[in-house]
Amino acid sequence: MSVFQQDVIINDDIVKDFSQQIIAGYSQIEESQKVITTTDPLITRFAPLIKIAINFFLKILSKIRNKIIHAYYNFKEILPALFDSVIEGILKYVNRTKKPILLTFTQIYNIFEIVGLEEIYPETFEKISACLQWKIISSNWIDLFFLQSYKETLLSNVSSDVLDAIKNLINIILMHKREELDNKKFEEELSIFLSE
Amino acid sequence: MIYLKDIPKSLEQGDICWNLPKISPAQINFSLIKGFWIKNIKQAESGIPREPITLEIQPSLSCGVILTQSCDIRSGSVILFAELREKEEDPFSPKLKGRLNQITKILHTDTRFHYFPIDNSIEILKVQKVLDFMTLFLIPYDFLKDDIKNFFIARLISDAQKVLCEKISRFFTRLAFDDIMFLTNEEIKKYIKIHNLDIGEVRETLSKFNRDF
Repeated sequence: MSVFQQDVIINDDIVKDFSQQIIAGYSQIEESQKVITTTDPLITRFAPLIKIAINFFLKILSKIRNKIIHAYYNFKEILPALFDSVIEGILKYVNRTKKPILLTFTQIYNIFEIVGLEEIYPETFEKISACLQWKIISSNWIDLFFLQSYKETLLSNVSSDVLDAIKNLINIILMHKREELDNKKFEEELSIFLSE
Repeated sequence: MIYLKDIPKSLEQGDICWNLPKISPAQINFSLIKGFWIKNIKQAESGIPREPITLEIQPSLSCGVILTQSCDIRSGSVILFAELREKEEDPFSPKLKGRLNQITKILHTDTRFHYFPIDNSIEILKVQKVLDFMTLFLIPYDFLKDDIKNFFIARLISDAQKVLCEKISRFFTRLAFDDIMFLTNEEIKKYIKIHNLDIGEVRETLSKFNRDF
């Protein structure tokens, strides 16, 4: 479940709702078949055929539904790894080109969250920490509030690796914020000195 | 130019280095440990055993200039660096005359800053840099000595090295006094404005000299 954008996500609940609707729809059709009483010769003639066709269609749909759900869960399993690869790719690109990143970490996370991302690997946080430490990216790229919110949503049985990675990242961002304040002070003092 | 780029066998005062792991107070959240620290001091006074306090610090990537005298740079010693900084926006005047005045002012009269000119053949010196004597940090010489090529950027020519030595000396021997004790009340008003001072603190300082403000 998402914590940050509940209104836009496609996740387990939506897939379950979809399958429940199919089953409910199928039951309704079966019920309606039992109570049809008509004297129209055309309907009477084609009703069994329509019923066979609907049954056939729903059986196929049921199989597809299972495959879709199965594929979706498989996709969800690889999402954290995919997210990690995307973040790593972005960081490598920035390191090579020295260009600023157009999307923030939170925005990229939100995009992945729409398709079901729930977990971020500790390795992803570690890669960001490393890039911050080596001044490849700015600390403004990753939102401290997002990290703290994400940490709060983690289950109590989450591995210590994840918690440590988030804690380290928060520490390094706070360190950068203190350095930024220090740099700002330096710039102000230098400007005052040079303007006198 | 004033820079020599050949990688030396050993380091000297004035050498410009990069990729340095700076550990400074700016990286430490002292407000977090202060409570525990004071508590432990009080505990010790009351005879209660002190608790261990640990700090996790991630060194910050930095560029600095060696302030330690060359004769003190040897195995087992610790090297004092000051950070070479740049202002995000060019702090120097776009007008040539104003610019010259500012550079001269830093070189001749200022005790906190020192000026490093541009050298387009050196990556980190493609913009003007200012050495800030208020950003001091230490690194063991043994950390650097076997990998000088990974840290060394440039060495100052002899004359520029002498100027830096004078600036270092001036920074550590500058007079420690409150400027405002020499000023009239009218001059103090302007001084407060320029230095963005807290009036309460100024009054407190002046009260030491039995002066009202």
